[in-house]
Amino acid sequence: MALLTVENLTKIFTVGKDEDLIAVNNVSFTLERGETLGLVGESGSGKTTVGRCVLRLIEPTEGRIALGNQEISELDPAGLRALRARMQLVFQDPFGSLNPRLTVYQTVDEPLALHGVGRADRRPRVGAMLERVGLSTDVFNYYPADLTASEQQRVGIARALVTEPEFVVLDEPTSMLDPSARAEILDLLKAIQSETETAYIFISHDLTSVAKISHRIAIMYLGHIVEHAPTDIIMESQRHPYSRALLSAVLFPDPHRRPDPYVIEGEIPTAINPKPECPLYGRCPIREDACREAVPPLVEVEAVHYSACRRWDDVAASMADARGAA
Amino acid sequence: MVWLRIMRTLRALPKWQLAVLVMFFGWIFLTIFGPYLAPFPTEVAEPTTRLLPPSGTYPFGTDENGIDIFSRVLAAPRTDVVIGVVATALSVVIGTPLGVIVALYESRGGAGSTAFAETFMRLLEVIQSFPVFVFAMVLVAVFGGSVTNIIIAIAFVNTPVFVRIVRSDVLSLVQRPFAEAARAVGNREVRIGFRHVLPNALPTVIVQVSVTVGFAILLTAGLSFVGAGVKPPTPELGAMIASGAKYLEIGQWWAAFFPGIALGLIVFSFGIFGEIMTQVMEPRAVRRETDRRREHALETGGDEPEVPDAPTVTLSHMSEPVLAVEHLGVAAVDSRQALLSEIHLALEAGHSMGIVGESGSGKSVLVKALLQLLPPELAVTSGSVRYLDHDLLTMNKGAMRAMRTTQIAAILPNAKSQLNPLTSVGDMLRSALQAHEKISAKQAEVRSIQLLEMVGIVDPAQRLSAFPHELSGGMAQRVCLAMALMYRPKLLIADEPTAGLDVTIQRQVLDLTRTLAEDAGTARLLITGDLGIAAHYCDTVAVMQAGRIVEIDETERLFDTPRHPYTQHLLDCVRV
Ligand SMILES: Nc1ncnc2c1ncn2[C@@H]1O[C@H](COP(=O)(O)OP(=O)(O)OP(=O)(O)O)[C@@H](O)[C@H]1O
Ligand code: SF4
Ligand SMILES: [Mg+2]
Repeated sequence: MALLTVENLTKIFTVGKDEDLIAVNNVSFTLERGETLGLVGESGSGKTTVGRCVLRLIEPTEGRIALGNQEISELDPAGLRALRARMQLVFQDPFGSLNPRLTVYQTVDEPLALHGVGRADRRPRVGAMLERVGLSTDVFNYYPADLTASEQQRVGIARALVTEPEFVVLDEPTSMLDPSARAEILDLLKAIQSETETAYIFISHDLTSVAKISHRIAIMYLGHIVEHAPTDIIMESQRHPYSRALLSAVLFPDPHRRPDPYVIEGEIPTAINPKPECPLYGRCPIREDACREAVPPLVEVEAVHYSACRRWDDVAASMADARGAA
Repeated sequence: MVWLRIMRTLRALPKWQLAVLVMFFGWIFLTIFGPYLAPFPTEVAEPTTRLLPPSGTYPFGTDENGIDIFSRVLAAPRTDVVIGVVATALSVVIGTPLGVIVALYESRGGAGSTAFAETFMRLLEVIQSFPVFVFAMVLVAVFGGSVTNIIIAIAFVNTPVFVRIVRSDVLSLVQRPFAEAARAVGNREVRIGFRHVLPNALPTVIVQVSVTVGFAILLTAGLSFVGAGVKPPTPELGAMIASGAKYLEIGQWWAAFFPGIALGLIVFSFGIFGEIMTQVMEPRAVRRETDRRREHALETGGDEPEVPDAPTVTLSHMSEPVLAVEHLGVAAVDSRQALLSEIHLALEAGHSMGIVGESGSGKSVLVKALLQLLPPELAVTSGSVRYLDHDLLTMNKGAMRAMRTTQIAAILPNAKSQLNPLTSVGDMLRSALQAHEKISAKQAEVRSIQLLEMVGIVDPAQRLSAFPHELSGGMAQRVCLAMALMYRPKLLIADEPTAGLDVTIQRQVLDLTRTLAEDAGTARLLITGDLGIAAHYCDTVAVMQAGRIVEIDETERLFDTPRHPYTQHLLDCVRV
């Protein structure tokens, strides 16, 4: 059985005068022990909302979420609080996510205290955790403002991991860091995963970071997962026009790796009261009338490779052509 | 730790605030010991010495009962300050938790809790909208003028103030990520409110406390002044002013004057004390050793003795450069910290150069130095910046400004925030065009539409009426590009032009910039922290570290065979 199961998750925000903003639209995925799922998409595609719903920091409108055989979606507040030791969150903003008035030690000590670990048992665990994320004993009594961004993020990671959770949602944990700090944090997260078998949902719009850490990648557009496959497969061959455009736009730091000239014109439309059609319909270069009849489902088009494009085989063919031409 | 923080704050205070602080503790001292220090009895009438002017024996003179005013001023703070402080403390103790609870209830959402919070706040408004003074008078009139009743009356009228400020602070703080983090680790809502959020709201509460104490003291004095407060002969400043005021007209000024001054100084020193306290409470106050070391590194231009000299590569047959920078150095005016040193650059017409480096390496300082936009606290200390035949460092401001729009264009990060929020896109473009050319509004509009078309904005005629907040980040960046490239400048300086944009939009903007610039033969200096952008959009790349260029080379060669260890390190960090 999968560690985490998410089925048909939908989150609708009511905005303005009773308009429905469908931030997450019928999303399903699973996560295994020790595995990382990368959740990629542009701003507003619903990544953060998925992460928050899975942890029930916001209430999903619909859908089932289960951690092992524990139904997260049905827990009452007390049960949910108890379960928080097993599922955690790391934030994008390293400084903003730390209470400015708690020291490094107090910040990492609190989750253990809340989950009933006695004072005597906490001390060595907090110390070991802080050392594991690479913080030396002399910073234990510092306040967040006294740390560098990289150190602040390490504190955030220590706080999330100290209760030894089974899975952690990492919401853009490296996007506010400089390249070298980013690399350090990614390496740290990977090393910890290989020791503890913690599963991650790694949310980011930066495909190069996601590719470094994820086993599988799901690409989101306008609240939908439009494509989903193991990392090496999806980085090589996309089966959805949006994923192809997204990957083409990635600028790898290598002048010889020329970006694919494939682009999708225009900008992401609003998620308010969307029509029941393919979310890319308005911008898709290969759309056809049938694409507006219903939202195309995510189906396994090749082995372990899921796409929600009705014309995925045309995408495959045109990619092969482009490669042949190059 | 706390003491360290206090000492630091004190040392940083301006002299006059220190003086006020000393005075504040003076009043506290008098509150405790004042009555014992009085040279004369403070409550016993002495008919033989009525209303004597200030003299050696009676420095402040005597009052209508013949009592030494100096002695009474020494003794009075006991009454006024104690009433003010106790009443304020009571308002804080009641108001603060109420504020937290209302805010928590409100932020939970849902119709019921919103309605409750609204009703509650209305009620507070009603209490507050009563004239405070009259209200306190009525309370005292009904329940009698004992000190306890005065305290209760003053506390009652001040409690809503604390409920309100705590509520509004907590409402905004619970939105912050650290409050969500507290929820994510398993805190109850109430604990989030009191343990995590409230301490961060305390600075505001403390400022309010000091204001309220001052106000409460004034209120005490005021009530006594109208006879509804502390009864004579207890030494109390308000009552003293009231009894003295009668004699002002006939020239016996001292009886009201000295208590009045004392009252003013007490209120003032409490206010300043609150301000100083918030500085002490600021958790940022203690700076860490490594931070100072890092600053020091910047100051001395980097402490990397083990690093070899910057490999300077002669770039192939440079023709007449558009931009030539030599030996450029920039430092802070007061501390003389060097922020840039020995910067050499040369950029040919139609070429693009990337400047990469981590945040704090001095990239943006360089841009500002080139454009003569350095803030007053920074100054160029050495070197030259030449644009064609012009020396940009010595050029006067007016000429520089003219140059900046027509020949040297700049795009700064976060375009949206730089567009005037109150001007429509059309007006912005039109006034920019009309500032440089004698053209009619009609012609300017036609040109504006062409410009928007040029940067790929769909429906340009309609977009003219849009205001910046109605544009997406990508569109705002395009508008900036249209403004920058309006006159086919010879040089474009772009500082992080796509920071914060999504990858697909970033790609569109970068491609467009390149196409337009190549068309116009514009040389580009592209400042970025993203090595991917440098790899694909620049002909040469310069790597900056701690205010120096450590390596500069043609793009492919720099990525294939980096020579400086820092370049190697940067590349290692981003390689997939
Ligand atoms: N509390 C809220 N109320 C209303 N709308 C919301 C709320 N939170 C998110 N949304 C909307 O839901 C959609 C998805 O937002 P979300 O933050 O999940 O996107 P994201 O993929 O994480 O984007 P980013 O990369 O910018 O973080 C957006 O249209 C957003 O405006
Ligand atoms: S389903 Fe149709 S509209 Fe949607 S991406 Fe595929 S081809 Fe385009
Ligand atoms: Mg997000």
